Amino acid sequence: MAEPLLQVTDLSVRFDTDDGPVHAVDKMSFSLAPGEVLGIVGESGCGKSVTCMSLTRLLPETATVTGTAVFDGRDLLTLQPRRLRRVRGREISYVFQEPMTSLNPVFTVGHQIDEVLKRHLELSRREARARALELLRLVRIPAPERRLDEYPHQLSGGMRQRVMIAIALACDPKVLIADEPTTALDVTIQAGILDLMRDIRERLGTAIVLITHNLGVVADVADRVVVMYAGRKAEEAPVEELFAHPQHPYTIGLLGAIPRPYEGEDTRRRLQEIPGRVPSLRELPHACAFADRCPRADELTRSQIPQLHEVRPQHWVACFHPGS
Amino acid sequence: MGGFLIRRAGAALVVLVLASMLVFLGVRAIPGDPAIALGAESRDPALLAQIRHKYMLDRPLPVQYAHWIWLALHGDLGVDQRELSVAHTIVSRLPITLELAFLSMLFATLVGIPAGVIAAVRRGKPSDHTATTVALVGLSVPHFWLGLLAIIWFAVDLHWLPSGGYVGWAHPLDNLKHMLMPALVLSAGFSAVLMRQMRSSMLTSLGADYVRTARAKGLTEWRVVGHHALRNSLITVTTVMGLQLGALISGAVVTETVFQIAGFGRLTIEAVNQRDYTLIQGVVLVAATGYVVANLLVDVVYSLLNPRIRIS
Amino acid sequence: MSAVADPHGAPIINPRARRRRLLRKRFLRRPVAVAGLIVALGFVAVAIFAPWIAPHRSGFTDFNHILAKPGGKYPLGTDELGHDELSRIIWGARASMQVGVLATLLAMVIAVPIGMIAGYYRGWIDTVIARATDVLLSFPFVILAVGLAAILGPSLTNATLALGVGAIPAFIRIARGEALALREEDYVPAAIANGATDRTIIFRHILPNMTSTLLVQATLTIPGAIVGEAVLSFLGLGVQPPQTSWGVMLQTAQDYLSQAPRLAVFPGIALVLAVLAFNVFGDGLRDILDPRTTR
Repeated sequence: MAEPLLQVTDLSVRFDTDDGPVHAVDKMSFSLAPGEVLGIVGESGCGKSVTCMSLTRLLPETATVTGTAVFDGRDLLTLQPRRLRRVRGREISYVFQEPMTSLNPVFTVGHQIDEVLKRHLELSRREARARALELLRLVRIPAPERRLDEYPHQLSGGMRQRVMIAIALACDPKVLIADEPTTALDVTIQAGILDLMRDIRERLGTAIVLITHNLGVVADVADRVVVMYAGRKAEEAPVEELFAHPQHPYTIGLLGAIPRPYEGEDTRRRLQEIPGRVPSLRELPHACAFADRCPRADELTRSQIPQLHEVRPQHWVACFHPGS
Repeated sequence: MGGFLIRRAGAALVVLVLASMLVFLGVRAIPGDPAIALGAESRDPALLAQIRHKYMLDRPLPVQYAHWIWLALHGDLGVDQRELSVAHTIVSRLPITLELAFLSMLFATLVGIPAGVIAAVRRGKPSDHTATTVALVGLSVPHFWLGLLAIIWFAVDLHWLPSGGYVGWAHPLDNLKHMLMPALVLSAGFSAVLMRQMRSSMLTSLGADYVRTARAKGLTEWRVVGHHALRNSLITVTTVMGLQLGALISGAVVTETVFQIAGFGRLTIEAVNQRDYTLIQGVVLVAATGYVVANLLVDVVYSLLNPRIRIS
Repeated sequence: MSAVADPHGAPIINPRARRRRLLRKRFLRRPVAVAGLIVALGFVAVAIFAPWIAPHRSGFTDFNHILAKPGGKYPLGTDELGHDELSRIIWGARASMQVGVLATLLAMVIAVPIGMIAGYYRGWIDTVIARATDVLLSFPFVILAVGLAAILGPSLTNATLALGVGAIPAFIRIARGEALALREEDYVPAAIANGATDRTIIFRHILPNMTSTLLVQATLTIPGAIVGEAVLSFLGLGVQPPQTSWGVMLQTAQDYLSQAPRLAVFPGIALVLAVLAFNVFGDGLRDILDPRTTR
């Protein structure tokens, strides 16, 4: 594999709350190659958003982050704040889940795009405006000239998300981290955004980290997938491989839970759910986090933490009893 | 925005009309013959007859009310016990109180808003605790007591500032010397409230998603706080201003009493003490009207500042 | 309510008791709020037990020792008529607490039902109540008191009335807001489906769920009423001599600022302490009851 763009090793995040510490992420490691689309999948609360926000230190002060995140030869987690701010928005940028609240309601769209251009690039007024228009066209927003002077509340949810993407792409970053970009949008709009993401990867060569709880989205767009559970990595594989030969019982459960509406009676089957609940993240149990809900659980899984190992080519899993 | 303002103006108008009715009925509710009340307790039958005729006391109430409002809209609020025009008295005393109120708001804004911002940015640190505690104490100390203390200290002990009275604008320096303590004292409570509101509003803004986006863009903390968070918070805080104006007017009454300033505020007290009902009526009406109008202005300012209302 | 088990057989403790324990824990972690509660209760106790605590009865004067300095027989000195300052402060506490608590109660008793009705029924009732509240709000508090004093004459009762009326709009707004939100809760249509009348829903379902918010507001209204009483008495619109309150004491102190500043200082300190105590306690209460408040 070519030199990875981003290499995260043993990332752990602990939050100090009023009611005690919460271990949101426990020794996550992953890498991102240039131009690659990495999907990070897991249910709400599994730590996928926290993992990615910790990369450029966007978490609140109650979070303690340990580990390393090497990007372009520098460890982001220990980088000086001044240098880190030059990475943010310029080389690594974000698209968040809620476009309505992620855009500042009191400034125009144009102002908010302008801002990031002015911060990182030396552009004249005219050049900046031209670039802003170009970006809005890139994300396929109709009538871009008018949009520049409009406020976020005047746009629809899908258009706001496109604006967010435009802002994220403004300085041509190497990595775009999209945290549940389509979750807050209608299903019909979702497809458009995903199309856009594919487009971006092809035309601009931007590496994308796509965080989602929706396996369908991942199947559509990602090259490689990481499955997270309770703050730990459960499985990692190229996308077709994962869907064809899932190894971890959790992944298998997730795939079984995808609704597949078909015509015809012979495919009418019950939606399989995974029994039980995600464990509390207050303690780090010295056992497999999924043990309580796993049909393959035994003494071993309840007493030791499974480590990642390669069961098939390019396919890693952290499980004592992997297998399709 | 137009729709929003029209609705607000309409509501304000309704409120004003109802309030004026309340004032009107209030005076009529005083036990005893209204003619005597309005004629300053004189028993002279000729005078009373004259008053009855002038205020139409023999006509039905709605007619009396309409007559009174009609006169008021033309600037005639009657004459007080000393045969002086109520409207004239009010107009001559009002600017003094307005100056006091303006200076207080100025001080409160200059102190309260930056303090609130700093406390929010340094949340949990010593400067936050200090600022919050000072604000809490500032809220709890009745400002007339603060005024008394200030007089004891600065006027009696140190002789730095005069202990009261008012000097007109002909002598601007003297005017400010006399206004300094009263305005500072009056601003104490207001700044405390402003500081707390600003702090709370800033904490909300700083926790908002758009601030996270701003940081993710690589903007400096200065810009994130001073441009993104601050703008939103300032807009939110304007809504508080309206409510505080009422407290300011109440405070002005007390402050003018403590510092012996012959302003509109003190006029209200004098009116009650002298049982001068025409004067009371005029004063309360003007105070309520002013307050309602001021609140409406605050609404206008708010709708201009908030794009969601400006462009709906 | 006895312990209930969840589907997996794990026992669930009575949720109400659990919440109360959690709240108590959070409260005890805020020493300032605890101090506030203690001091506030102290003042209430002083107010209740004044006849037994005060060294001299309420009208007592000693004409041989007017404007005496603190010390000896009169620990805080005496005023211009020979009243013992310490006793006056204690008796003043009684007046202030009385007004503070009664005015708040008055406001709550009137405003909460009105607010709940406005929030629950909405429609034209809501609009009418909103306008009426606006009218009430259009009079700055002192102006309102001035008006009432003009009509009814100045007295302790009328000051209480004025303060109570002044506190009504805030309670209406809160009760209305809570009712507005709570009527959307799922148990409301469930109760209706079970045949509950509007009155049952309002008083058995909605009201109990707003008690914490109302409690916080009440705790924060009392100090406002105490200060309000002091202001009104200071202006001559409230408690009338020979009855005493802190405000009255401060009014007479005005004439003796150069001779005996302590006449202004002591009642003022008492006032500030009482108000601060309630404010601090109320703030702490609000913090622990509403975790969403940004502090």
